[in-house]
Amino acid sequence: MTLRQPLFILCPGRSFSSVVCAAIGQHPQMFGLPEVNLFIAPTVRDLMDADIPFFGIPGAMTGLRRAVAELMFGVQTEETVNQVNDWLRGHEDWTGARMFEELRKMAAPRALVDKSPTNSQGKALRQLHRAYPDAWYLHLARHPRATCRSRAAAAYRNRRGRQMDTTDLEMLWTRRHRELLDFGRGLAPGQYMYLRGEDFFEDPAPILRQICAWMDLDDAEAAIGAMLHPEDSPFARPGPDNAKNGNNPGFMANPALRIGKIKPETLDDPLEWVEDRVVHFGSETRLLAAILGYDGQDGADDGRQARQQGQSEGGKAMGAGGRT
Amino acid sequence: MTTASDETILSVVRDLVPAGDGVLALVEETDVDSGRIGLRLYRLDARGEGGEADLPDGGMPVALAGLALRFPEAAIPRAGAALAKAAPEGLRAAAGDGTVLFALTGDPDVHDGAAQRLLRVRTGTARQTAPKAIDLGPLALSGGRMVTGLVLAGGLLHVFVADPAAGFAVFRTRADATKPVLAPVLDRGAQRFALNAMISAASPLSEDAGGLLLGTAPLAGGPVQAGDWGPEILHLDPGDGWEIVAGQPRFTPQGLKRPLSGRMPGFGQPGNAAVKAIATGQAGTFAVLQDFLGESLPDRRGALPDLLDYMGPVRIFRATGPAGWEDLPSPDLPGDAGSVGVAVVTGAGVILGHEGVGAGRVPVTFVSP
Repeated sequence: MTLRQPLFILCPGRSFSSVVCAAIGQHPQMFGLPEVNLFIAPTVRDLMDADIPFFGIPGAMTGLRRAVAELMFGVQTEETVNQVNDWLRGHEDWTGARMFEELRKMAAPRALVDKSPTNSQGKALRQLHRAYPDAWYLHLARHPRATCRSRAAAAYRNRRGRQMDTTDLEMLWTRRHRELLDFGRGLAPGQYMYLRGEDFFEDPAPILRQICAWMDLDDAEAAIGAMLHPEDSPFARPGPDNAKNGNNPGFMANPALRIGKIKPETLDDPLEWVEDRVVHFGSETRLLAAILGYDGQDGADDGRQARQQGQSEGGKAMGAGGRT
Repeated sequence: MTTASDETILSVVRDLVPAGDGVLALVEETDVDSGRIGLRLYRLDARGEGGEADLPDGGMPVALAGLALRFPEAAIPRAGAALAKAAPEGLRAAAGDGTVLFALTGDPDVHDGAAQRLLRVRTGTARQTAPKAIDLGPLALSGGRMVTGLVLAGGLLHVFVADPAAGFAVFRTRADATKPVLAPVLDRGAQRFALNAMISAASPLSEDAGGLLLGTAPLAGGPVQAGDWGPEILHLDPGDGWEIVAGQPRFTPQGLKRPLSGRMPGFGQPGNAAVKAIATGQAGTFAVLQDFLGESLPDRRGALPDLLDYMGPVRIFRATGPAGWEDLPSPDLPGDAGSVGVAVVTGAGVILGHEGVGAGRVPVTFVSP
């Protein structure tokens, strides 16, 4: 049996990837993974070694444990996760790509959707493409202000805020999207698509239909209807005590799709997460924002319009807090 | 041969008007020392060879001269006089037929969309009427967002708005409407945003095919290249539909769009280039692309692409059918020429009009398919 090619969602963290992945993963021909992080370490053993507090990537293995439990046993419990741990240790010399291939076989005939934020980092991206040169690649974006603000809030919640130069957040957004645009340029026609997350939330059904057309998936109403319920994903809630996370905590706390226009943002105001001085977005960020469609023409990036709307309509525009 | 004094003369082909088997070439000559500008007319054969001819009206504004040649029966010169009176700031562009003429006012060297006006005047009536202004409010023009082109085809006036940050927009109205109202047809660079900053070339298709072919230009050039910067060719039909002929597949409010030709932006070469001209005729449909050689700007969101900065190597493509395009051997351009501005198809091939240095020179290049 020929396995359908996987879909990789590529973006910086905090770009709505969890909900978009879970939504696409609800299509009957697809299976949306949690964050399996299989392309950041040479082998499964290296990934296990990295899953340590403080000096590593805490929780790096959790998504993989949950994914294997779900695919192997159809349920995520402490017991199945323990069995998965044993199974993973028995295959710890496998490369990430080899393990991903095993997940593909387990999920077949459904195709995998992987949104691990680590996939979008330069080295992992190259590794990913080497392993899956014919995969589908979806470049997802969110306004730089909203992305950086969300990351700053997460950093402070994790008590790492004091260790972070908050102007780095802008650099991360810019560098990651620049890499992804360059990556897309090297792919075959039709293999790469770009999506503004804000457009997805404003009216997801037409976007999901187009994703089906792009990937040659069934676009019957039942399939689209299923995709509108990311909360039905097996990874939309915390896992058992021995594998609680493995997905974005904000998404797992509130996984239902909240359809509506997202509150407009501006490129012009000072960066509110930089508290000790007044800093604005740099020219490269603004240029990339324009290339990615954040330019102030449709309310997705117009501070003036936002303020006017807030004054005249009592601020009806939805906030995007928690949508990750 | 170019003499020393000739080198101060910059010749630019402003229009190529089909005439019999050949073309009439309108060439603007600028003496860069004195600033003196003159207009010459040349009658060329199907391969771009020929000599100077008499201009029917030497005092005609450049923007109207091509229309006067295309519609000799219409009272274009008289309408031009009325426009000159109504628009002392000058004319940037015009479009029209034998009955109606639209003119965009403004000094071509002043880039301020907010100061632009669009006037309409009847040209087919015996009694001259004063030009009337069309409301440009729906276009939301500003300093960096401005009208850069007009095309009248199939009874519809198409107005092209360039926006270096948001991408181009196209508005349309019936040319004969009692009170023309410009309605949006495409916006946000057809959902490619700043990478389709402006419509840089357009050509009406035959009545059978219908609609317009549009060529795009991205942000003005600069050191940061990310993504596919190549320009696109789009087909805008007379209704509300549009398709990508060559360009980037994408999600749009009108559904998934994939390039009909299977060719990516820039016909597969993702460098910063613009579609400089599109021409249709019996020998086929031709698209002329040219690379950017202008100044690098760190932040290009406020700068409209200057088409004169696209003066690099030229590439030519010919449509072989509704969906197929083939590369033609590149001509020796720009050579000592420069920016290509216009093209026309003849029975023998395609004639490109561009810049050239030297008085009395006809800066055209013939390309045989």
